[in-house]
Amino acid sequence: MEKKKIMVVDDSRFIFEEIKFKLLSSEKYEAAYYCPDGESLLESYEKYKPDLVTMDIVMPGIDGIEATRILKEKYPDAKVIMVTSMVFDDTEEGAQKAGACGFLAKPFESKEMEKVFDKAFAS
Amino acid sequence: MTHPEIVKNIIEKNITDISLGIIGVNVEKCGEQGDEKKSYTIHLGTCGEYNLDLYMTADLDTLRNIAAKMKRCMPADDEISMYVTEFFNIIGGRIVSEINKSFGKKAVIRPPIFSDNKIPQIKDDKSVLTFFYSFEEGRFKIEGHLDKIKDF
Repeated sequence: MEKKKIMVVDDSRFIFEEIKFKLLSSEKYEAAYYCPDGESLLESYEKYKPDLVTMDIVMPGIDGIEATRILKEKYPDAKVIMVTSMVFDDTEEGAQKAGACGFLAKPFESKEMEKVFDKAFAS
Repeated sequence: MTHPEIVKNIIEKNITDISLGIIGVNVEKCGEQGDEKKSYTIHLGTCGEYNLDLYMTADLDTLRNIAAKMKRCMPADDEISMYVTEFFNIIGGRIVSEINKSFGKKAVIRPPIFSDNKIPQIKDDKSVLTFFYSFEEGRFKIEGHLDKIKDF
């Protein structure tokens, strides 16, 4: 079965490396693409058409919530999971309003991450 | 528990818990130690209903070792700042989130800045909290400058 391709949007490449490492033994998902900011997201999404996007919230320039809103306007079927250390906040509510279908708190474990991905594809 | 104790506990808890989560290391509180080595600072600011500036200071060897644990191999010199800024970014985000929840306030972190500048002097309208931590491969200092704690 072909693995679902994940695009990681984060100003820190470490998060892409971390997700890639934690998905090494996954049979369902792989971190295939990296995008460093919200500004280049639309171009990258159009080029690679990932199955799912993980989105950092705090980034220089356009933040992740705004980037999600812009992406969902052009690609309503895009699946976006917000990945952030800003938990305990109404950021999750803001993310849902922007069109995100899941939320993952940094730092995260492999199982927790796959569970969030599974839920996104089930919805 | 007083407000200063709540903020102190939030910072301490997140330094130890999130360090363990990111680099798999139990960092321990330690005393201040004079150091001849050149140090670097990561600054994390906030914007919102209160102002909190968090600073992490460490020498290059410590930062390299933190980055090595994150990368799972030795990083190139020009990669170190990327790893350690994200390390502190995650810790800072958790701290600010928990302060928001505890006090019913709203603030968000700004992207971190890595430099070889020293921590700026504390301003009169700010309170300061200072923490020293060590682990097998190094030691670091975390300092928080925030609106007078009584204003919480």
